[in-house]
Formats: sequence, C-alpha cells, structure tokens
Amino acid sequence: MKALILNGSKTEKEATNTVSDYLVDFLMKNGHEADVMVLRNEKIASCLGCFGCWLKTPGVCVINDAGSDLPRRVIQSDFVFLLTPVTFGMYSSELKKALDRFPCPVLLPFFKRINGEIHHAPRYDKYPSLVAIGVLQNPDEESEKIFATLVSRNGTNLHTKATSSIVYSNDKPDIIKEKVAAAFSKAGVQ
Amino acid sequence: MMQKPIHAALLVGSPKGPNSTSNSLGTYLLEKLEQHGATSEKVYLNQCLGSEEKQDAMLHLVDESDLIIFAFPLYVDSLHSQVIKTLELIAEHEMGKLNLDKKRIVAISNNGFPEAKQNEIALAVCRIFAKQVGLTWAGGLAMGGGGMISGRPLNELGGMVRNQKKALEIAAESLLKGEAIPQEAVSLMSKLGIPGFLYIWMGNRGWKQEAKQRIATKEMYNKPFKAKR
Repeated sequence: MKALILNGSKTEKEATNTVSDYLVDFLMKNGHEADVMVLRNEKIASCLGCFGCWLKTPGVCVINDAGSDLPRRVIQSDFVFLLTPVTFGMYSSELKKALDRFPCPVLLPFFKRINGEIHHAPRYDKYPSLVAIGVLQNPDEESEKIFATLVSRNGTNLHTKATSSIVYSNDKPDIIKEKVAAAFSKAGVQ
Repeated sequence: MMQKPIHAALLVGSPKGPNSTSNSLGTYLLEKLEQHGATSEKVYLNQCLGSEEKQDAMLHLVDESDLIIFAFPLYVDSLHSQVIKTLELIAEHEMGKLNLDKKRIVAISNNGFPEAKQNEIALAVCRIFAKQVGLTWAGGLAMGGGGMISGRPLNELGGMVRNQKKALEIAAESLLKGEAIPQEAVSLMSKLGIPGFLYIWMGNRGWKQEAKQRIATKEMYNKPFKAKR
C-alpha cells in the first residue's frame, strides 16, 4: 500500500509533526510505502484558477513547481493523509495551498449529480482514500464539526471515502499514538 | 454632531483578482455602501500576499476599517489558500487589541455549482474566525451559479442577477444601520436567476466549446497518470 502524507504544519514545533512521525512509523512497520511532503518546506504556488489543467493540458497543472507533481502523486497513492493544525475549523494555509492544486487536474470540468448535489465528474476510475488528522489546542465542538464536514465533502468531491480525526496538542504521546492507530483503523488501513 | 462615515474594506480573495465574480459581487456591495455615504477601499489578496510591504498595507487597511468584507470563490469546499493565509495573518496581527468588537466582518462566497448551500462551510469558517479573534460577525451571503457572472459587472447582466443585486442592496442598507445582514438578503442571494438544469446544460456545453478552441474535445478526457489498481 502506498500513502502520500501532506504535512501542513506551520512550524517545526507542532503536534502535527508528532502525528506525522507516528504515521510514518506505523506505515513502515506494516510494510507500506510512505511519500512525505512537509509543505512549509516546499515551493508550491497558490492555484491560479486558470483552468489550464482542463483546457490547455488536460489533467496536468500548468504551473511549474513542486505542486505540479501533486496530481500524479495523489493518483498513484492508495491513501492521502492530510495533517494540519485546525485553523478556524479548517485546514492550515500550508495544507490548503497543496490541496488547491490537485482536485481540478484529477477531475473533469463537467458537472455530475452526486447525492442530489452537483460536483465535478471523475477523470480517473479510482481515487485514493482521504484520511485527515486535525490538531486542535483544546476541544472545540464547533471547529471539530466543521472540520469533519469539510473532510467528508472533500471525499464526495474526489469520489472517494474520507475520514477525519482530531488530536489535541496537549495529548500525551501515548494518546496521540492511540489516536493515529484509531485513524488507521477508521480508514481501513491494515 | 456629525457621525463619522463607515469605512469599508473589500478584500477580494479570488486568484483571478479584478476579473473575478468575487470582485463583481463585492464591488456592487461597495457601490451601494458608498451611495449612502460610506467610504471604501479595495484590495486583491493575490497581490497583497506578494510582498511584505503590500501585506502590511493590507493589515493597516484592516486596522483602519469599520467594516471588512471578504469576497471569495469556493475552493475545494472551502476557502482558497490565499484567503486562509489572510485570516491567519489578520488573527496574528489583531488578536488581543482593544475594541475589536467594533470592527464588523462580512463574507460573500460564490461557487460554480448551482447550489448556494455548498458555500456553508466557507461562511462558517469566516464566522469562527471573527469569533476567535473577537471581531463582530455581521453575516454572510452565498450564491451558486457564479459562472453566470464570470467577472462581469452586475449592472451589465440584466435580470439574470436581479436577486443578487437586490440581496446586496438590502445587505448594504442593514450594514449602514449597524445591523447584521438580514435573512431576506441571504435567501435572495442564494436564488439562481435561471433554472438549475439550464445552468448545468450551459456549463457542460461551455466547457466543450472553450476546449474546442484550443485542443481536440476528446483530449479533455486524458488520463496522463496511471492510477493505482
């Protein structure tokens, strides 16, 4: 099994990085392949909304930087892990700059009705599962609910299964480890 | 004593900047506010985040404004990374300052799907941002079918955007009175000016026509990467 890990932490000293370490450790121990991107260290421009990936070079982003390879890395993975500090109920800007760069290339511009709502039709036959782990400083019911809804909607848009979990930054290492293991089990990773 | 006019800042969060539907919607609201005595300034976030100097100027504008209007497109079910970056910067800059509750926040979100409802998360994020920073949330407006506007001024689009124009006029009136955006404006903003099935048909046809001018239509379905089995 191949996993792409998108680490959206904003600094080196964040629990998001601890989550990433446990994740990689778990994957390696179980014989899986882990492709890790620490996004704050990557040169990834913001999506321009130019639709070049639909109209000029279908399926390929026209910007030439570390983000251009994201559609390939996503499509060739079984799981994409989204790791992020929860910012106002959503992803950090670091994670979102990467996330903005791959849905358009891996989807078609055409509309398709899914569960009564319009979304973009799939370009590929199969998409990786999304597994999001958000890190919050303290429990916050409102932010957690928005985060879970957002991840679930991303799954619908990307024609795939999506699961989410929350870790608190003051959780003890053993608790973080347990939560990461629980996230794996929720997502069906063995 | 004469009351100081409201100073409104429009922060356009579309990567398309001046050519965006977000700009069309936000500008129409600014015009309505100005017609009733408000002063205003507009910035494009894709330009502001390009240099420290412009970033500081944007934060200074937020400091100086009574009403901050975010206008943005829905991006992967939420906000474009540039808008999130801006919220992070404003939070860092403003947090802990005095009288922040006197500053009001409004958001206008649009998306290319016909359903306005898909903007709910984006508006909820802005509401939580306001709450966490200590600013006053004055409401959000959401519209689907943004492709009908495609960055053109609302006044050039006739009856197709009558609901959105009316919604923004009602919103301006309430905001000038110091009130939150009323439900009437929220409902009107969400109403598509053409039937949903027609919008979908026109959208699908439009993509094929645009593609035809640059590539062969069948190329649109290319799968450049071999997916995992």
